[in-house]
Amino acid sequence: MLSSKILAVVTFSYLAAVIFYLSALIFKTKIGQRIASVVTIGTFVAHTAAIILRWVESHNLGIGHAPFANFYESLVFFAWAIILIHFIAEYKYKLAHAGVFTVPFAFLGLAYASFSPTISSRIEPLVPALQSNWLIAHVITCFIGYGAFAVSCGLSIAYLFKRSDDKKDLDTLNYRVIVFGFLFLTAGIATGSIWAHSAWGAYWQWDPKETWSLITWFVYAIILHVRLRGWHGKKIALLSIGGFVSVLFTYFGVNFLLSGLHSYIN
Amino acid sequence: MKPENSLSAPPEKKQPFWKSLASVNLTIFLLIFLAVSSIVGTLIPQNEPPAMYVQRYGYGTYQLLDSLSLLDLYHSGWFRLLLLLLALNLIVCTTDRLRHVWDIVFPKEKRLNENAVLASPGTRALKYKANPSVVKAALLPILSGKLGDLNETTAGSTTILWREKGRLSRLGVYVVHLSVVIFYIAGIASSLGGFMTSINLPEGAVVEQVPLPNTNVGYNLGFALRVDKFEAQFYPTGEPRDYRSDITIIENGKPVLNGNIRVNRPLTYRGITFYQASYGRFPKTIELNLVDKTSGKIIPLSVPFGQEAILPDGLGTLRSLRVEPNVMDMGPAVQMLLTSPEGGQTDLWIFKNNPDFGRVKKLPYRFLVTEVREGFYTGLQVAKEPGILFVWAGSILMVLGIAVTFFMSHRKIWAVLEKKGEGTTVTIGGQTNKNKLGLEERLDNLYLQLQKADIK
Repeated sequence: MLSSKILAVVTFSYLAAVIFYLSALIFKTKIGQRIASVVTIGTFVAHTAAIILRWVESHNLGIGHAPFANFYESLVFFAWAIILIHFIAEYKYKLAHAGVFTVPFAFLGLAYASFSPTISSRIEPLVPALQSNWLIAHVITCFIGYGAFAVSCGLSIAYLFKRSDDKKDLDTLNYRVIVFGFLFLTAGIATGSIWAHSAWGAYWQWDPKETWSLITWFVYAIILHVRLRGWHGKKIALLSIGGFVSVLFTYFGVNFLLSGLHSYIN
Repeated sequence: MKPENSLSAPPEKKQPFWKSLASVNLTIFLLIFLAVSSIVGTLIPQNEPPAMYVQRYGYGTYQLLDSLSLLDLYHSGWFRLLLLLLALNLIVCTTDRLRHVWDIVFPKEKRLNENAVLASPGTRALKYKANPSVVKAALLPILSGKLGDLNETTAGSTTILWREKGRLSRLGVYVVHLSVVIFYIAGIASSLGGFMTSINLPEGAVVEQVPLPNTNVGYNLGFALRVDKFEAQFYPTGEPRDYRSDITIIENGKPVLNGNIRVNRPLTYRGITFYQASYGRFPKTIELNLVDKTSGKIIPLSVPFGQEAILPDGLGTLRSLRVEPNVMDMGPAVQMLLTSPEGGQTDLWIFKNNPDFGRVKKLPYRFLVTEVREGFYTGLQVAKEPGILFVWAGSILMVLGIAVTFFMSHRKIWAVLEKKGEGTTVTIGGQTNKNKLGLEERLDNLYLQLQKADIK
């Protein structure tokens, strides 16, 4: 498939962007920063095109469906969501070096998808359990949420590394990205729950995937509430990294270590 | 004196117990406790048979886990107590704070705390040579173009043009809390008024009553459902494409509805919903050949699975007991019970591929299986779920509530016009309950616009 070949190139292109971001940070060059931004934007365009192309390819195979049907496709979309949210950090909040800490997550996700021998990039037909309009709403909301949490994790690492005293804006942005992720995680759990009801008859069964998504929700709800108690900066950064560990477990750990209703993912 | 228009939360004055129930610290504690308990529940397999736990953990540990209700954790008393406490915490916190917030959100009249504004009007100042009324006339269109309808407050020789927005956004957080309570109501409605059970129905079967889980009683549907046909379709790659049960609803002996049940497309009738959950094959009829021992003449015979067929020439009956796909590496075989006219019974295995079996001395013929005809059964999930409407309501409210709480803010933006000598000083400033960066950006933008304005 052409789309998966493009995505393999996109993977390395993100790696190149990370290297440019990193050298711009180390050598403090404006031009390096510009190049990194341009490479990221160009790669993101190709990334988006590949996702659309994959949709078209599935239709050409006669099994047309949105490219959200297997583990490979979910990783590709996860990486896409990370870069989308990264742009908000870079442009809206003018954080020049955010890319050093956010783009690597997209690179790792795509590299895992493209080069892991256990992940098939084949376009598969949609099994009956996934034949629902809820698929698109559920996957988009969940992965935008996950993407935001990945970016927040990156910003948190940046916060812990940054030595300057003026880190208030980074903290504020980090918090806003968490809130953004929380909104989408909530929508993701809600759409999943309503979908579960129309597919299986029960909107909540304490299935491991459901439970871990709720645990992740609890973790970020805790972050929002300790913020009310005045926590900020380093404490929030550490909690956000912890939150992302919970996201990773919800996404990967449950599939590999615990069995449940979501097992068609693999 | 009460600060009428303060944007910060008013101080709490409550007795300690009430206060601790309403506290954010309790919320944080409960959320942590719930998260940790939920993790434990995913690490220990839930609702497995005791033997599995004994084998896995040993008897002593099994007893300990069982006594702590860790084997059905999410339905245990203590987990429910945690949930109840969280609900209580939410409700008390909400009612406690809402009264104060209500006065801010719905003030008797629009008001500005002029003293506070004049004490710190902001850092963005513009100086004009014209007098305040000229400046005001010139700035008004720009300001109202950017901010909307302006209020005007005068304090001595100073004029404050101001705009307040997003008061309602302060209620967002309480909408989120309300939505959590609605999810609880959904859970209660489900457990009190709902049920879920699964049934396996062979093609042709009719069901009027379904078993209720964990009880001996059945639930009368009030109508009958007949499975006319089950069909499984596959893609060329072998993956499943569609599972479909064609059904007929029968009321008072008359068919009233023909429909189908597919995965993700359940069928609801009179509040009961049927979901396609699974399927399987079962032996329907066993086709036999009766081969005459001397002439080799063949008489075919069909034996419905689990039932009796009468042998020709009044030589007794044959009942099918069991179908096995492979017996002793000799292929498919059927276990049958032969009953002679005198009442004597013989148990025999009849093979498909091996004519050495299926012989009985007294009978003039031997048996051979020609085919085991299979039918489908469909596995349906039957549910009545009164909670789902609350889930919808709670979901919508929670998402909207979070969006409002975190992405909208209660802001006041003002321009203070002060007479300074012959000229006028205009100071742009604002106040917000959250997203201070956003407000700063807005004020910068406004300041730029005013700088560009040409005032004589």
